[in-house]
Amino acid sequence: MYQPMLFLHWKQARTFLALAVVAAFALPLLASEGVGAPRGVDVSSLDAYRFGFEAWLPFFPALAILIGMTLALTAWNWDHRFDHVYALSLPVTRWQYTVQKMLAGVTLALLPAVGFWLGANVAAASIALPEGLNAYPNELAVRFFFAILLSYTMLFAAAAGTIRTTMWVAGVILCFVFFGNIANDFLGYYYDFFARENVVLIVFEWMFETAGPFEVFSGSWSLIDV
Amino acid sequence: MFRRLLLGALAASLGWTNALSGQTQQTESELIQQLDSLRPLLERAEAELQAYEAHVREVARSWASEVARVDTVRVGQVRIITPVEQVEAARNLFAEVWEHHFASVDHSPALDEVLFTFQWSDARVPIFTDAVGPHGAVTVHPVEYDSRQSRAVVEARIRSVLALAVSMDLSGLGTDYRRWDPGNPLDARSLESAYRIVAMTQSQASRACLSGDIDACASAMGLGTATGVRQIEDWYSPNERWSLIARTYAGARMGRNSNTIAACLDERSIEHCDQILVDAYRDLTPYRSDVRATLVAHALEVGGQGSWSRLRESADMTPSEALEHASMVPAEELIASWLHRLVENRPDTYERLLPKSGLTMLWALFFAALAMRSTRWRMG
Repeated sequence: MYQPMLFLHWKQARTFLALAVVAAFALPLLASEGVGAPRGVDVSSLDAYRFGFEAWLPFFPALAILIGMTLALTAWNWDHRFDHVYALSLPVTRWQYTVQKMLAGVTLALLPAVGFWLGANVAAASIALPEGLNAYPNELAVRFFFAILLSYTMLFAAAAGTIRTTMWVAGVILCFVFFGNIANDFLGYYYDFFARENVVLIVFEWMFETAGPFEVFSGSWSLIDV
Repeated sequence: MFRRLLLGALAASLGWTNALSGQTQQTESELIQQLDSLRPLLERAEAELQAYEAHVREVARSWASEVARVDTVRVGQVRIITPVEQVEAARNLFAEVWEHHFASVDHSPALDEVLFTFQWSDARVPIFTDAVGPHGAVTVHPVEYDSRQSRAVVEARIRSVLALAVSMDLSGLGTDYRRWDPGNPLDARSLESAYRIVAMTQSQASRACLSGDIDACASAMGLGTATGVRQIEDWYSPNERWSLIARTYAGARMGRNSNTIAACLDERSIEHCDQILVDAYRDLTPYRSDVRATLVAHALEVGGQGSWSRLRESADMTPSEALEHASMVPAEELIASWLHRLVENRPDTYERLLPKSGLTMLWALFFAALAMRSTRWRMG
């Protein structure tokens, strides 16, 4: 069951995946271009290694999100187009079918992750690092893979459900963002807690920094550090 | 009243000054006589001021006693005045900070001269004290904290205030030590943070230090024996020296050194660059006070109990001697152990990658579970 799923998904996403592998390989190389000591100058400052690289930093999570989203949408594209006839004709339960489909996508996500890992290692090997600085190509590649995995599973879950469910979830999130601050200010007149704290901000901090799902995007994406 | 008297005195003196300018024939004795006539006025003003200050103290004392019930807590030598309901918190926090960061301070004369107040900033009450120390009125260091702040933040604030007070003990140290400027070793930054600074320092001495060269560490700290050009050559490679000048004089090459600067930057004449650096009136030592403070803090830690008193006693010593005296180990050995600890504390950029990846995995499983729950496999 897993192999046909993998094959189907591969057929849907192969063109994009080929481009994604090339982009993932090239991105660390492009980002590290010109990083470090200019010719003839012994600059060991970490800033010299970060300056060029940091301009490219937003592209790392962005590429991971793009890959994850595209894999998730291509996973269900075929089912939606043919009204799930193929899936319903199979002698498997819904959850078995979903698990197999998800695993197939995760397997395909490994391709750009491996491309990124190779690119990061080649980039790290091409920079002569002074004493005290280190390259982290493997750690960066792990972060990249998990960023793909998270965006893939999120979009996969959204695409698996009905449009109505997806609209509901998106609507609740948007309402929370837009009306949360107004409600917080209003409650602040009556409750001391809301006067002191901004609940929307707390939720966002939790989502991006503490234990929420998006920490993988906001954490360190450094190839070179101390 | 005092202000009126002072204004009167000022007006009178101005009047006399104008009068004096017109009377060139006036003798010195006449002038002294006129100035002496102002003295009773000044004495009256001083007496008024003292009476006013005493009245303000009295009002503050009576107001504070009506509004706030405070108590004095002692943690070792540290005296803290705090509202009665915060006595336990004050005692615990100060004791913990003292135990963790001031273990080397066996006795601090400076602490006899200070008092600390401790209270919530969002429910502040007036705290009044007229306590005196061995040399008169004590200095009051307020510690106010927001009840929403974490314990770590409050402890950091207490540490900083205590360190500031205790560091007054070192004000009598010799010029060499003060010129070396090791910051405040009792409030030194963490070794993780110091490692980052050391690794980011653009200096060949710093790179050699990180690879284990103790002499290079001493040199980068400003504890080396070389002076002048030799010292700058130890610290920076020719290209780094050129870069230092290039950064400093990037926009302007004016002044009496303009020819030397041009020779250094345009012709890359290292002799000229060195000449500018030697003449420059600035500290070029690669490691600044923030890193040096960690070395002094390490010396105090190695020296253990009594090390603070020994450091305080090292008034006529050079910085190296003072460190040896405080730690009771040779300077090379001290720097070697500092470097060992520094490298041990190298910050790991991806330290939390594994647990965070596990967390991401859990979220991925959660979304997978959601994907299995919701379905379009419905009729209608």
